[in-house]
Amino acid sequence: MAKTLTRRDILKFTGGGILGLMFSPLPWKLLDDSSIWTQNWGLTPKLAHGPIAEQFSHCTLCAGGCGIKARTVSGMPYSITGISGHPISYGTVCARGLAGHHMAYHPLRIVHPHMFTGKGSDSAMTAVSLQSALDATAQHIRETRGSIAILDQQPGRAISEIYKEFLSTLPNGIFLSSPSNEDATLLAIQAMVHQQKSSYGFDFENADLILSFGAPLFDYWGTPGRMSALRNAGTPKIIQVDSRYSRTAMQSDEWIAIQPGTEKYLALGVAHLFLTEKLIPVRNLRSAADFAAYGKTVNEFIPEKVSLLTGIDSGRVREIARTLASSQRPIVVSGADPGGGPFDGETEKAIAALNILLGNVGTSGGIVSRFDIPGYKNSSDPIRWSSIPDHSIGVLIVDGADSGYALPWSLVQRKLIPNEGFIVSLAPVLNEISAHADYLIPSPGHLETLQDIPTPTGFPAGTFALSTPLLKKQEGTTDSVDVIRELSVRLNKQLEIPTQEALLKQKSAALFSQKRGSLHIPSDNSILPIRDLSSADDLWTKLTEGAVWIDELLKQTSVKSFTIGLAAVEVPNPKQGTNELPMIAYGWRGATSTAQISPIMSKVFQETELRAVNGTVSVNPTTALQYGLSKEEPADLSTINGTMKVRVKVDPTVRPGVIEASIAPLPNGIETPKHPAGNNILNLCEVTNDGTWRMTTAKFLKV
Amino acid sequence: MKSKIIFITGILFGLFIGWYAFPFALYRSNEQPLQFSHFVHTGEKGGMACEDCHQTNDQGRFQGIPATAKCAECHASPLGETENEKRLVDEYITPNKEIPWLVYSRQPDNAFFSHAPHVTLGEMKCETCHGGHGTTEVLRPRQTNRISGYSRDIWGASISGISSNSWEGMKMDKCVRCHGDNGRRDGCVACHK
Repeated sequence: MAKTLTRRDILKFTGGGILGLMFSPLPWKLLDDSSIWTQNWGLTPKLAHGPIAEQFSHCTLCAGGCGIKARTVSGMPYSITGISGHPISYGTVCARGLAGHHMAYHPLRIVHPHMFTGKGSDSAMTAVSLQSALDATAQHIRETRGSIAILDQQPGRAISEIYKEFLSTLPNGIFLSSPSNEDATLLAIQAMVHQQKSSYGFDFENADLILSFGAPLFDYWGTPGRMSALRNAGTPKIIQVDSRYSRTAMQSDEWIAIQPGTEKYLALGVAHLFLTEKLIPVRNLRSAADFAAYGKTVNEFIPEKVSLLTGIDSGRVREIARTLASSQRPIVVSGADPGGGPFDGETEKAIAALNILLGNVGTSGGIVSRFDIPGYKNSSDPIRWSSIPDHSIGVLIVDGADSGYALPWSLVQRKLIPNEGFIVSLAPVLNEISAHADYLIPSPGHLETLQDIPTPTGFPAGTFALSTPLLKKQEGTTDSVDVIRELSVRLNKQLEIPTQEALLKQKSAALFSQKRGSLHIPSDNSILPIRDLSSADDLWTKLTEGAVWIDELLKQTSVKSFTIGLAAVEVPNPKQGTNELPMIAYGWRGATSTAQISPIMSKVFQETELRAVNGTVSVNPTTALQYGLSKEEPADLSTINGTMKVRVKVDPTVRPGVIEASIAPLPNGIETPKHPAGNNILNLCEVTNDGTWRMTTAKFLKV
Repeated sequence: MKSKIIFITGILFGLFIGWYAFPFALYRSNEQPLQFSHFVHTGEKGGMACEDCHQTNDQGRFQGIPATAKCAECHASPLGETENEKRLVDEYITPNKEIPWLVYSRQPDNAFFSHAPHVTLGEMKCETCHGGHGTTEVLRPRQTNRISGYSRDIWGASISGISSNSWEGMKMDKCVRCHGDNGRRDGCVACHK
């Protein structure tokens, strides 16, 4: 054998070495470690390391007014929970609120003004300066021949008053609120009452029966913590009238399945029985100034007719009326679905009128009036979309807050002057409305700026709190109050508009001066009467530390004088010989159209479908059989507004002959920044003249 | 014949490098700032339990490695005559300075781990994940991966990453397997907030 090493030997040795290494952990471990190394590069954002602290604030993602406790590391929030003992939210925060600190990093977050140009696939977003965005907006306001509207989906805040003040200086200024309609019953009653306008709340805690017409009471309605506390307490009894076996229906004491779109007939039928069977005191009947006309309206809704219309047995209708009338403290509430939208005006009036007949307005355990919040002007009713003529809005400014309830783009679009309507969105994230804007002037996101938290819908006493910022405000964002100030300067309006902080300090000072109510201090769960505070500054400090002010309960005086305003109610003839089915849209509050959810909440939609993903429809097995639909297979769903591919689920809890359609966000938000409104079932819904879309008819094209 | 021998020698050399030499190159050792004997404290003489020093506070939050103040509860002045205890008192307790312990089980920043659901609610024993650490007489050096920066304890003592004991290795697959064995099905957000 040769004793010298040749090149061939070295190559063989090397080859053997490499083979040996492949059978060792070295290459695989190096691969693993290298990938970890790349994750730790300098440009990779890193969590802060530092002292752990707790900060208290309030959630702004909807009008629920929930108190939140944030755990922070070096001032950066990493976890949010509720505040145990919080008098409004009872320690509960909804899933969106728990992930609220993620929203600053949402993939569709906008942190700089942008301009949209072009349409459809040619549209583009271009970053622009704040000044140019404001100049363009002011110019359009000056030049438009239409009205100038501001859409505020959380009216009642301090900024809402600034909007109204600004709009009052313009020739055709309109203050709009989108139809969340959690307060539909309260607004209807407010419109019916003769005496000086008061704001109302529901005294659920002292009621013994709630008859809910579709209000998703146990599915993020109002303040979720308050409602779940009621449910856990077991009182009052809840009867849910619902066309779906919704989460609220599941958790109520009783579910009354009703044919969709027939809620007003049930309400009128109950009223009919109140009158004909003398189930309620005569004095309650006489409180309605237009009782004669109302009586004539309800006269025809005998239980048998109501049964035919609603699908509810006539005996059951009688039982509902008698149960209501025999309760000591009943409340009747109507409600919108976050995806399905509000009821029409007639339905809301019919339902609200039951409270009047029951005599529970201005009584403990019923619908209670509240003190006005000191420092806040008694706001006028929000204008309904239905009262605005089509094609009349020239400039629409959309505030950044959202109600959590759906707002179809088609509803907005029809009110704009075609080809001229100019939209400016102040939203901090791209959503289905802001994606149609001409300009985006993003406001600071959730927990990035100081905001006031007005009284949550339906709360029996006035409240006030602040959302203290927990996150750093992004440089390119602008508080809405500053936007309005800049616009008023450009338009030469003599308005004195303070900064956001100064504005809220004024409100706080007004609270202090009234010396009424008390503070809940979250750090030690104590209650401190306002009169025990030393100064307005002291109150301000406590509010910025997470305290919430709760007003005293107003001594109730039963309201005796109303005008119901419900004239003859028509019953449309049923459509004959059509293969179209009523489509019930439904959704999850905060995940419908003008809001986004944290993309990390993948369990909700993507992983486990706790909520049905966008594009999912459910039908009863008999309906599926009738239309040749198969479970989980795609089908084409068509309405007057178009066709889209949907995924079909076969569910025996769905009413036969009905389609339940989930309004949900597209996975992780919206598909593209350009025109994201592509495939959401909400766009298939038919929006009627009164701004509702509860009764779209749809059909399956392919079977 | 010769070429076969050379080739096999190469294989063996590769195996040697990959299995034996590689860990020495990969990990650097850092001694703890102070030597500490768990055995003295938890053995028959000390009689302490893990939770006597590694506590959960009133809000259920695990406190991790105890602060110097905890040591000071007993060692405000030296109890014995060891050099290490003297250093503890002179260099840390007296000047009220925290001991910069090198943590063996530090997880990456993107992993959220809470002791509360595992120890308080799940009633898991410390030894399940930390082995016999509570009875060691000396603190071994922290072996840090030069590339990833993580402790060798995360991968496991064996360079293969394979181990039969639950306390060897703390990578994600181990957590996932244990969760699965105990009937827990979690999505990503459970641990990666």
